[in-house]
Amino acid sequence: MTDLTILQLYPEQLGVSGDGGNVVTLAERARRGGLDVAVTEHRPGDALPAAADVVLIGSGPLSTLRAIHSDVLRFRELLSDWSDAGIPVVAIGGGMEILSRGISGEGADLEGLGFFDASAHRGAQRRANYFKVSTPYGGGSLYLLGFEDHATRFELGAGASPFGAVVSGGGNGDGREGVIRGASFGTQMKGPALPLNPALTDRVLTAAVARTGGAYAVADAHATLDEYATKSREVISANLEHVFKAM
Amino acid sequence: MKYVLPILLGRLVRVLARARGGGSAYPGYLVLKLLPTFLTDVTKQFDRGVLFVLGSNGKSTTTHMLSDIMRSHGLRVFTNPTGANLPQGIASALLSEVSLFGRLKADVGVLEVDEAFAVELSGHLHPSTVLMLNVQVDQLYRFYETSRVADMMTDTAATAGTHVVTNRDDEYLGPFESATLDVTRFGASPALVAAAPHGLQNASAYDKGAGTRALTAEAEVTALTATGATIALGDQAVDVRLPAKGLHYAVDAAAAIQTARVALGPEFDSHKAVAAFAAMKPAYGRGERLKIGSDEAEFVMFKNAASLQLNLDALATAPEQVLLAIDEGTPDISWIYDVDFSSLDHVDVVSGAKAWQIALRLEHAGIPIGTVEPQIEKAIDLMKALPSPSGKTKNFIVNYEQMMIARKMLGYPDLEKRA
Repeated sequence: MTDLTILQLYPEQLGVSGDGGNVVTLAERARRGGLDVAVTEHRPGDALPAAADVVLIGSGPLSTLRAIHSDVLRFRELLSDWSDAGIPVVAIGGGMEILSRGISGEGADLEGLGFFDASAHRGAQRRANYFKVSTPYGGGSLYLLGFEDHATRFELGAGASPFGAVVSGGGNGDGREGVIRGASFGTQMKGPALPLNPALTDRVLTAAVARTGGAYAVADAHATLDEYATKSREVISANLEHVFKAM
Repeated sequence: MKYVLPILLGRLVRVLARARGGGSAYPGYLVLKLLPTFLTDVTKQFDRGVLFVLGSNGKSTTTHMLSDIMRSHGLRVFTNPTGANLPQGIASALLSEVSLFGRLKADVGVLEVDEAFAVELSGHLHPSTVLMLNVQVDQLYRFYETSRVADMMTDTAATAGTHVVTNRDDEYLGPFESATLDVTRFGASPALVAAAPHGLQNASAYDKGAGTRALTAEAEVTALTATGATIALGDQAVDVRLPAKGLHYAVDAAAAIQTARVALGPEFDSHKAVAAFAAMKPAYGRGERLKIGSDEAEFVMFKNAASLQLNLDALATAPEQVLLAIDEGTPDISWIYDVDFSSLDHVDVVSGAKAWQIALRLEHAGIPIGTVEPQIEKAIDLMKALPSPSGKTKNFIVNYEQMMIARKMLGYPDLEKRA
């Protein structure tokens, strides 16, 4: 019996920045925690999915956001209902932006799903750098490390909460980073975010199984993943100021 | 006389830069400052004009192939070393070959050109022919829109003097057409593409919708052979030896041959082209084999998910001994999760500043790792120390910067200068 169904939206269009890595790490950590996992995918034109325990929507450039736009709007009610029921929706980069109220600037004029109470404004100064954020998502404060690569100012609505606070990098442009909605969140963190931040992955998994009455715990089988993630994080931490030639 | 002083100064700076151990584009930068028409003045001496090679992947390999085909037809070729594909890099390369009076004895220029500078360079170099290889997802931290890269290439193609050669199998580039230019295409047969584990890795033009027009390839790879490929040129088919393994090299060869055909016209002789391939050495670090102890190190270089995937797909069997290294020359390596590593059954040494990130990715795929050693120098020593494999080959799968260091460590001089 499947304990956890992971749904990835638009794996090709919104999947050129290692977004599949977030799916892989959720599945792999869940399996090593003894859960039986299924991964499903939604592509443009598919019937709306019937169920999921955690949803991922990855990043893509404006051109592909346009290409999936009419399809993704069909998710307006479904994602909202799911999130209200406690199903985590993890949205990265462009995926987060299209889940906001809309994307404007630089010729972008895309209505969003309004899933997050925020608006994305393209045309901010482009950032391509290592990224460090602290987040209260799912418990006590957690430091996240990864990469950010975007040119978006992300403006939160009056009542919206950020996903975290920027420690190093650009984030939303005002010291805050991303947006949170219950067990769901959006972030510009790439790298990908979840493999590099196993503690965050574990919190997503915990939220996902909590809804169905299941349990997830880190076991010995996670040791190598955790060791490599820790070392990767140390290197990123030591190179936060590294300047990449963004041209 | 206007050339003497700038060229002397440029040369002097070049000698100084070399003495400091740097491969610098500064001499070229300086010459362009003193003599803004330098690129135009020198290259207009080429009777056969200038040929541009553009693409996300395969530029160096194809430039190398095309240069050798042109040489096999008795032409003197000026070409730029890999990576010296920005204006100052090309100026530096010219500087090392011109006389003090700005003379350069070459019949044709074969130049790989960076996408972002291609339109600008076309204004200086007036290419007669523009070859567009492919649009693959590459350096998103730099280009951020794959369609933008495609536009840079097609905008450049539109400035060609006479011919454009483009990739039939590329959704962005294939449909290119022009009322005034001769446009021809190269490609790989549908059966070959279908048989490739992950296809050709060309980017999908989601924003353009599926093309409906059936396009013909004047040069089409129809079969891969043990040492090369069969390329159909209309009703004629030629068998060429390839300098390195993989469908992507065969497609590069078809692109080079088609470009030579249009650039040379009736002078093109397929026997000469075949002879050029028979004698061809791999481009720097692309399938190149170097001595390592009593064995050989086979280098495979990649810079993005597409080139890594294509090279992994070209492996006939899982390598006995393999090193995988990426450093900060590749800033964001999120894409390693988009790559299918299942053609490797283990990795002996993982290296480079991103070593732990590679290890993390491989652990997710259940691929065992021997040692994680971020320092490439130590990692190469570990590879050297491994017992001689039965196939006598130690595979090095590395990004550009790590390849340069590894090459040097194995005692091979730094022939290639980066812009």
